[in-house]
Amino acid sequence: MKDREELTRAEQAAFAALANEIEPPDGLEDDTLRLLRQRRLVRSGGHWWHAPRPAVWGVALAACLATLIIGIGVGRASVEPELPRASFILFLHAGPEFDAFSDANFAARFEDYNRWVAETRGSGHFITGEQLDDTGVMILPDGRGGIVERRVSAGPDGDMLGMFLITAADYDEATRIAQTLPHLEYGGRVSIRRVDPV
Amino acid sequence: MVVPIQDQPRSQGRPPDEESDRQLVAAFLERKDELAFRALYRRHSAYLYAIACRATAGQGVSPEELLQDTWVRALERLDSFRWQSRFRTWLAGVLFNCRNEALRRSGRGPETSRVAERATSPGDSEQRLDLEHAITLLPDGYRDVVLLHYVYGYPHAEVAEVLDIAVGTSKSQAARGLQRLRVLLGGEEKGGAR
Repeated sequence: MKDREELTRAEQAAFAALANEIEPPDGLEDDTLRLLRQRRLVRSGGHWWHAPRPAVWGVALAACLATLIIGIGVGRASVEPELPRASFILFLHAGPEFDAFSDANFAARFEDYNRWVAETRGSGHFITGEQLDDTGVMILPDGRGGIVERRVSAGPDGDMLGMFLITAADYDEATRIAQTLPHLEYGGRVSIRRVDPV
Repeated sequence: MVVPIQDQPRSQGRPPDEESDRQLVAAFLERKDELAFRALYRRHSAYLYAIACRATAGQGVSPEELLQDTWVRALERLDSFRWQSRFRTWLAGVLFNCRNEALRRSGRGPETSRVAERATSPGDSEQRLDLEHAITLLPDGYRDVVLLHYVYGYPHAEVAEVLDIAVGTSKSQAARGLQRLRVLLGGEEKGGAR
Protein backbone atom coordinates (compact mmCIF):
# COMPACT_ATOMS: atom_id res chain seq x y z
CA MET A 1 0.00 0.00 0.00
CA LYS A 2 1.58 3.21 -1.09
CA ASP A 3 1.29 6.05 1.33
CA ARG A 4 2.21 9.69 1.41
CA GLU A 5 5.60 8.86 2.83
CA GLU A 6 6.34 6.64 -0.16
CA LEU A 7 6.26 9.49 -2.60
CA THR A 8 9.48 10.51 -4.22
CA ARG A 9 10.89 13.82 -3.10
CA ALA A 10 9.88 15.36 -6.39
CA GLU A 11 6.34 14.10 -5.94
CA GLN A 12 6.19 15.33 -2.38
CA ALA A 13 7.33 18.74 -3.51
CA ALA A 14 4.84 18.77 -6.38
CA PHE A 15 1.93 17.84 -4.13
CA ALA A 16 3.00 20.28 -1.45
CA ALA A 17 3.09 23.06 -4.01
CA LEU A 18 -0.61 22.48 -4.66
CA ALA A 19 -1.58 22.74 -1.03
CA ASN A 20 -1.99 26.48 -1.33
CA GLU A 21 -5.09 28.35 -0.40
CA ILE A 22 -7.07 30.36 -2.91
CA GLU A 23 -8.87 33.50 -1.89
CA PRO A 24 -12.51 33.37 -2.95
CA PRO A 25 -13.62 36.13 -5.33
CA ASP A 26 -14.33 39.54 -3.89
CA GLY A 27 -17.96 39.87 -2.98
CA LEU A 28 -18.55 36.19 -2.33
CA GLU A 29 -18.43 36.75 1.42
CA ASP A 30 -21.20 39.33 1.21
CA ASP A 31 -23.19 37.23 -1.26
CA THR A 32 -22.94 34.27 1.09
CA LEU A 33 -24.01 36.41 4.00
CA ARG A 34 -27.01 37.64 2.02
CA LEU A 35 -28.00 34.07 1.33
CA LEU A 36 -27.60 33.14 4.98
CA ARG A 37 -29.79 36.05 6.02
CA GLN A 38 -32.47 35.03 3.55
CA ARG A 39 -32.48 31.63 5.16
CA ARG A 40 -32.45 33.18 8.60
CA LEU A 41 -29.24 31.46 9.52
CA VAL A 42 -27.60 34.77 10.36
CA ARG A 43 -29.41 37.54 12.12
CA SER A 44 -30.20 40.41 9.82
CA GLY A 45 -29.53 43.96 10.83
CA GLY A 46 -25.77 43.98 10.45
CA HIS A 47 -23.40 43.60 13.30
CA TRP A 48 -24.48 42.28 16.61
CA TRP A 49 -23.78 45.55 18.28
CA HIS A 50 -26.46 47.27 16.29
CA ALA A 51 -29.20 48.35 18.61
CA PRO A 52 -32.14 45.97 18.59
CA ARG A 53 -34.36 48.43 16.79
CA PRO A 54 -37.81 47.32 17.89
CA ALA A 55 -36.70 47.43 21.50
CA VAL A 56 -35.11 50.83 21.08
CA TRP A 57 -38.14 52.27 19.40
CA GLY A 58 -40.32 50.68 22.01
CA VAL A 59 -38.32 52.23 24.82
CA ALA A 60 -38.23 55.57 23.06
CA LEU A 61 -41.96 55.52 22.52
CA ALA A 62 -42.58 54.54 26.13
CA ALA A 63 -40.32 57.34 27.32
CA CYS A 64 -42.14 59.87 25.16
CA LEU A 65 -45.49 58.71 26.44
CA ALA A 66 -44.27 58.81 30.04
CA THR A 67 -43.02 62.35 29.60
CA LEU A 68 -46.28 63.37 28.01
CA ILE A 69 -48.36 61.77 30.75
CA ILE A 70 -46.25 63.29 33.52
CA GLY A 71 -46.40 66.63 31.80
CA ILE A 72 -50.16 66.46 31.60
CA GLY A 73 -50.39 65.32 35.19
CA VAL A 74 -48.31 68.03 36.81
CA GLY A 75 -48.90 70.84 34.45
CA ARG A 76 -46.92 72.18 31.59
CA ALA A 77 -44.88 74.74 33.44
CA SER A 78 -43.52 72.33 35.98
CA VAL A 79 -41.83 70.00 33.51
CA GLU A 80 -38.59 71.08 31.97
CA PRO A 81 -37.93 68.90 28.96
CA GLU A 82 -34.77 66.93 29.51
CA LEU A 83 -31.95 68.07 27.33
CA PRO A 84 -31.12 65.50 24.72
CA ARG A 85 -27.94 63.64 25.38
CA ALA A 86 -25.24 64.32 22.89
CA SER A 87 -23.87 61.73 20.54
CA PHE A 88 -20.20 60.98 20.42
CA ILE A 89 -18.19 58.90 18.00
CA LEU A 90 -15.31 56.88 19.34
CA PHE A 91 -12.87 56.39 16.49
CA LEU A 92 -10.62 53.40 16.95
CA HIS A 93 -7.09 53.57 15.64
CA ALA A 94 -4.27 51.07 15.77
CA GLY A 95 -1.31 53.20 16.86
CA PRO A 96 2.28 52.01 17.04
CA GLU A 97 1.78 50.05 20.26
CA PHE A 98 -1.25 48.19 19.04
CA ASP A 99 -0.97 44.49 19.71
CA ALA A 100 -2.20 42.98 16.48
CA PHE A 101 -4.85 40.35 16.50
CA SER A 102 -3.84 36.81 15.83
CA ASP A 103 -5.40 33.40 15.58
CA ALA A 104 -4.43 32.75 19.17
CA ASN A 105 -5.98 35.82 20.72
CA PHE A 106 -8.80 36.54 18.33
CA ALA A 107 -11.58 34.65 20.03
CA ALA A 108 -10.79 36.06 23.47
CA ARG A 109 -10.73 39.59 22.14
CA PHE A 110 -13.92 38.99 20.27
CA GLU A 111 -15.52 38.26 23.61
CA ASP A 112 -13.91 41.31 25.23
CA TYR A 113 -15.33 43.70 22.67
CA ASN A 114 -18.64 41.96 22.77
CA ARG A 115 -18.78 42.32 26.53
CA TRP A 116 -18.03 46.02 26.24
CA VAL A 117 -20.83 46.43 23.74
CA ALA A 118 -23.23 44.56 26.01
CA GLU A 119 -22.27 46.63 29.04
CA THR A 120 -22.45 49.90 27.18
CA ARG A 121 -25.79 48.95 25.71
CA GLY A 122 -26.97 47.90 29.16
CA SER A 123 -26.12 51.32 30.58
CA GLY A 124 -28.08 52.99 27.79
CA HIS A 125 -25.12 54.65 26.11
CA PHE A 126 -24.63 52.43 23.12
CA ILE A 127 -26.06 53.32 19.74
CA THR A 128 -24.14 51.41 17.12
CA GLY A 129 -20.74 50.48 15.85
CA GLU A 130 -19.09 49.67 12.59
CA GLN A 131 -15.91 48.02 11.64
CA LEU A 132 -14.18 49.33 8.55
CA ASP A 133 -12.53 47.55 5.68
CA ASP A 134 -8.78 47.10 5.87
CA THR A 135 -8.34 49.38 2.91
CA GLY A 136 -10.20 52.23 1.35
CA VAL A 137 -9.80 55.22 -0.89
CA MET A 138 -9.14 58.83 -0.08
CA ILE A 139 -10.01 61.38 -2.74
CA LEU A 140 -8.51 64.82 -2.66
CA PRO A 141 -7.86 67.76 -4.97
CA ASP A 142 -4.78 67.31 -7.10
CA GLY A 143 -4.04 71.03 -7.07
CA ARG A 144 -4.80 71.37 -10.78
CA GLY A 145 -8.52 71.42 -10.62
CA GLY A 146 -8.88 67.68 -10.64
CA ILE A 147 -9.31 64.92 -8.13
CA VAL A 148 -6.76 62.33 -7.19
CA GLU A 149 -7.44 59.03 -5.47
CA ARG A 150 -5.18 57.49 -2.89
CA ARG A 151 -5.44 54.12 -1.33
CA VAL A 152 -5.57 54.19 2.44
CA SER A 153 -5.30 51.29 4.80
CA ALA A 154 -5.77 50.63 8.48
CA GLY A 155 -2.70 49.96 10.56
CA PRO A 156 -0.27 51.48 13.02
CA ASP A 157 0.32 54.55 10.90
CA GLY A 158 -2.75 54.32 8.78
CA ASP A 159 -6.40 55.04 8.84
CA MET A 160 -8.92 54.20 11.52
CA LEU A 161 -10.12 50.69 12.14
CA GLY A 162 -13.68 51.35 13.14
CA MET A 163 -16.04 53.39 15.25
CA PHE A 164 -18.63 53.25 17.98
CA LEU A 165 -21.45 55.74 18.28
CA ILE A 166 -22.54 56.37 21.85
CA THR A 167 -24.63 58.83 23.76
CA ALA A 168 -23.24 60.73 26.72
CA ALA A 169 -24.06 63.88 28.62
CA ASP A 170 -20.77 65.54 27.77
CA TYR A 171 -17.16 64.94 26.87
CA ASP A 172 -16.31 63.83 30.40
CA GLU A 173 -18.85 61.05 30.35
CA ALA A 174 -17.95 60.06 26.79
CA THR A 175 -14.31 59.88 27.82
CA ARG A 176 -15.11 57.75 30.86
CA ILE A 177 -17.01 55.34 28.66
CA ALA A 178 -14.24 55.28 26.06
CA GLN A 179 -11.70 54.50 28.76
CA THR A 180 -13.40 51.19 29.37
CA LEU A 181 -12.87 50.03 25.79
CA PRO A 182 -10.78 46.89 25.61
CA HIS A 183 -9.15 48.45 22.56
CA LEU A 184 -6.97 50.51 24.90
CA GLU A 185 -5.76 47.43 26.75
CA TYR A 186 -4.37 46.14 23.50
CA GLY A 187 -2.42 49.32 22.79
CA GLY A 188 -4.95 50.82 20.44
CA ARG A 189 -5.94 54.46 20.44
CA VAL A 190 -9.33 56.05 20.63
CA SER A 191 -10.28 59.54 19.56
CA ILE A 192 -13.55 61.01 20.75
CA ARG A 193 -15.60 63.50 18.79
CA ARG A 194 -18.99 64.88 19.58
CA VAL A 195 -21.50 64.84 16.76
CA ASP A 196 -22.36 68.43 16.02
CA PRO A 197 -26.15 68.62 16.36
CA VAL A 198 -26.24 71.38 13.75
CA MET B 1 -16.57 45.01 18.12
CA VAL B 2 -14.76 46.99 15.55
CA VAL B 3 -11.26 45.82 15.11
CA PRO B 4 -10.91 42.09 15.14
CA ILE B 5 -12.72 41.25 11.98
CA GLN B 6 -10.43 43.54 10.07
CA ASP B 7 -7.33 42.11 11.57
CA GLN B 8 -8.58 38.60 11.50
CA PRO B 9 -5.73 36.93 9.71
CA ARG B 10 -6.59 34.71 6.86
CA SER B 11 -5.16 31.35 7.55
CA GLN B 12 -2.34 31.57 4.99
CA GLY B 13 -1.82 27.85 4.98
CA ARG B 14 -1.71 27.43 8.73
CA PRO B 15 -4.72 25.76 10.24
CA PRO B 16 -6.34 28.03 12.80
CA ASP B 17 -6.10 26.85 16.34
CA GLU B 18 -9.01 24.71 17.40
CA GLU B 19 -9.75 26.48 20.66
CA SER B 20 -10.45 29.81 19.00
CA ASP B 21 -12.59 28.00 16.43
CA ARG B 22 -14.60 26.64 19.32
CA GLN B 23 -15.05 30.10 20.78
CA LEU B 24 -16.11 31.59 17.49
CA VAL B 25 -18.57 28.80 16.84
CA ALA B 26 -19.95 29.21 20.35
CA ALA B 27 -20.29 32.95 19.77
CA PHE B 28 -22.08 32.32 16.51
CA LEU B 29 -24.44 29.76 17.97
CA GLU B 30 -25.29 32.05 20.83
CA ARG B 31 -26.14 35.10 18.77
CA LYS B 32 -26.18 34.06 15.13
CA ASP B 33 -24.36 37.29 14.52
CA GLU B 34 -22.77 38.41 11.32
CA LEU B 35 -19.36 39.15 12.69
CA ALA B 36 -18.84 35.69 14.11
CA PHE B 37 -19.80 34.26 10.75
CA ARG B 38 -17.46 36.60 8.92
CA ALA B 39 -14.64 35.59 11.23
CA LEU B 40 -15.25 31.91 10.54
CA TYR B 41 -15.64 32.57 6.83
CA ARG B 42 -12.36 34.44 6.66
CA ARG B 43 -10.55 31.78 8.59
CA HIS B 44 -11.58 28.86 6.48
CA SER B 45 -12.84 29.99 3.10
CA ALA B 46 -9.53 30.30 1.28
CA TYR B 47 -8.77 26.73 2.28
CA LEU B 48 -12.24 25.47 1.37
CA TYR B 49 -12.29 27.40 -1.88
CA ALA B 50 -9.00 25.85 -2.97
CA ILE B 51 -10.44 22.41 -2.35
CA ALA B 52 -13.67 23.41 -4.07
CA CYS B 53 -11.81 24.56 -7.18
CA ARG B 54 -9.96 21.26 -7.41
CA ALA B 55 -12.89 19.08 -6.47
CA THR B 56 -15.12 20.62 -9.13
CA ALA B 57 -12.68 21.13 -11.99
CA GLY B 58 -14.20 19.97 -15.26
CA GLN B 59 -17.45 18.86 -13.64
CA GLY B 60 -19.74 21.76 -14.36
CA VAL B 61 -20.09 22.72 -10.71
CA SER B 62 -19.24 26.26 -9.75
CA PRO B 63 -16.70 26.38 -6.91
CA GLU B 64 -18.21 29.69 -5.79
CA GLU B 65 -21.66 28.17 -5.48
CA LEU B 66 -20.14 25.17 -3.80
CA LEU B 67 -18.45 27.36 -1.21
CA GLN B 68 -21.73 29.15 -0.55
CA ASP B 69 -23.61 25.87 -0.28
CA THR B 70 -20.97 24.60 2.10
CA TRP B 71 -21.42 27.53 4.48
CA VAL B 72 -25.19 27.35 4.31
CA ARG B 73 -25.17 23.64 5.06
CA ALA B 74 -22.52 24.04 7.74
CA LEU B 75 -24.47 26.72 9.56
CA GLU B 76 -27.64 24.67 9.31
CA ARG B 77 -25.90 21.81 11.06
CA LEU B 78 -23.45 23.67 13.23
CA ASP B 79 -25.26 22.97 16.46
CA SER B 80 -24.97 19.25 15.83
CA PHE B 81 -21.19 19.37 15.37
CA ARG B 82 -19.66 17.61 18.36
CA TRP B 83 -15.99 18.50 17.92
CA GLN B 84 -14.98 14.91 17.44
CA SER B 85 -12.88 16.09 14.53
CA ARG B 86 -11.17 19.31 13.59
CA PHE B 87 -13.63 22.00 12.59
CA ARG B 88 -11.89 22.39 9.27
CA THR B 89 -12.09 18.66 8.61
CA TRP B 90 -15.80 18.78 9.30
CA LEU B 91 -16.21 21.71 6.91
CA ALA B 92 -14.34 19.80 4.23
CA GLY B 93 -16.75 16.92 4.71
CA VAL B 94 -19.68 19.28 4.30
CA LEU B 95 -18.08 20.61 1.13
CA PHE B 96 -17.71 17.18 -0.42
CA ASN B 97 -21.28 16.30 0.49
CA CYS B 98 -22.51 19.46 -1.20
CA ARG B 99 -20.33 18.75 -4.23
CA ASN B 100 -21.76 15.25 -4.55
CA GLU B 101 -25.29 16.57 -4.28
CA ALA B 102 -24.57 19.17 -6.95
CA LEU B 103 -23.23 16.46 -9.22
CA ARG B 104 -26.31 14.34 -8.64
CA ARG B 105 -28.58 17.29 -9.38
CA SER B 106 -26.75 17.81 -12.64
CA GLY B 107 -27.28 14.17 -13.51
CA ARG B 108 -23.73 13.15 -12.85
CA GLY B 109 -23.07 11.10 -9.78
CA PRO B 110 -19.74 11.48 -8.08
CA GLU B 111 -18.50 8.25 -9.61
CA THR B 112 -19.61 8.88 -13.19
CA SER B 113 -17.32 11.57 -14.38
CA ARG B 114 -17.20 11.09 -18.11
CA VAL B 115 -14.31 13.48 -18.47
CA ALA B 116 -12.33 11.52 -15.95
CA GLU B 117 -13.09 8.20 -17.54
CA ARG B 118 -12.11 9.47 -20.94
CA ALA B 119 -9.01 11.23 -19.77
CA THR B 120 -7.62 8.30 -17.87
CA SER B 121 -7.99 5.90 -20.74
CA PRO B 122 -4.66 4.43 -21.91
CA GLY B 123 -4.59 6.48 -25.07
CA ASP B 124 -4.33 9.71 -23.14
CA SER B 125 -1.48 8.63 -20.99
CA GLU B 126 1.13 9.65 -23.51
CA GLN B 127 0.23 13.26 -23.09
CA ARG B 128 2.28 14.84 -20.38
CA LEU B 129 0.28 16.98 -18.00
CA ASP B 130 1.05 19.08 -15.04
CA LEU B 131 0.14 17.60 -11.73
CA GLU B 132 -2.77 19.91 -10.98
CA HIS B 133 -4.42 19.18 -14.30
CA ALA B 134 -3.69 15.49 -13.99
CA ILE B 135 -5.47 15.36 -10.62
CA THR B 136 -8.57 16.88 -12.18
CA LEU B 137 -8.59 14.07 -14.72
CA LEU B 138 -8.71 11.30 -12.15
CA PRO B 139 -12.00 9.52 -11.54
CA ASP B 140 -13.76 11.30 -8.71
CA GLY B 141 -13.20 8.65 -6.09
CA TYR B 142 -9.48 8.68 -6.69
CA ARG B 143 -9.29 12.39 -7.11
CA ASP B 144 -10.95 13.22 -3.82
CA VAL B 145 -8.69 10.90 -1.89
CA VAL B 146 -5.57 12.07 -3.70
CA LEU B 147 -6.50 15.68 -3.05
CA LEU B 148 -7.10 15.20 0.63
CA HIS B 149 -4.33 12.75 1.36
CA TYR B 150 -1.46 13.69 -0.88
CA VAL B 151 -2.12 17.38 -1.42
CA TYR B 152 -3.66 18.46 1.87
CA GLY B 153 -1.99 15.85 4.05
CA TYR B 154 -5.07 14.33 5.64
CA PRO B 155 -4.34 11.00 7.30
CA HIS B 156 -6.45 8.19 5.91
CA ALA B 157 -8.69 8.19 8.96
CA GLU B 158 -9.66 11.81 8.27
CA VAL B 159 -10.02 11.21 4.55
CA ALA B 160 -12.40 8.41 5.41
CA GLU B 161 -14.37 10.71 7.69
CA VAL B 162 -14.57 13.56 5.20
CA LEU B 163 -15.62 11.36 2.30
CA ASP B 164 -17.65 8.95 4.39
CA ILE B 165 -15.73 5.93 3.18
CA ALA B 166 -13.81 3.18 4.92
CA VAL B 167 -10.20 3.76 5.86
CA GLY B 168 -9.20 0.82 3.70
CA THR B 169 -11.00 2.37 0.76
CA SER B 170 -9.10 5.59 1.29
CA LYS B 171 -5.81 3.72 1.28
CA SER B 172 -6.56 1.69 -1.81
CA GLN B 173 -7.96 4.63 -3.76
CA ALA B 174 -4.99 6.76 -2.82
CA ALA B 175 -2.64 4.07 -4.08
CA ARG B 176 -4.57 3.57 -7.31
CA GLY B 177 -4.96 7.28 -7.80
CA LEU B 178 -1.25 7.74 -7.42
CA GLN B 179 -0.57 5.01 -9.95
CA ARG B 180 -2.91 6.67 -12.42
CA LEU B 181 -1.32 10.01 -11.82
CA ARG B 182 2.10 8.60 -12.55
CA VAL B 183 0.84 7.18 -15.80
CA LEU B 184 -0.87 10.42 -16.71
CA LEU B 185 2.26 12.35 -15.99
CA GLY B 186 4.32 10.14 -18.22
CA GLY B 187 6.28 8.24 -15.60
CA GLU B 188 5.95 4.57 -14.95
CA GLU B 189 6.00 4.26 -11.19
CA LYS B 190 7.74 7.03 -9.34
CA GLY B 191 8.98 10.45 -10.26
CA GLY B 192 6.15 11.31 -12.59
CA ALA B 193 4.94 14.36 -10.81
CA ARG B 194 6.51 17.56 -11.89
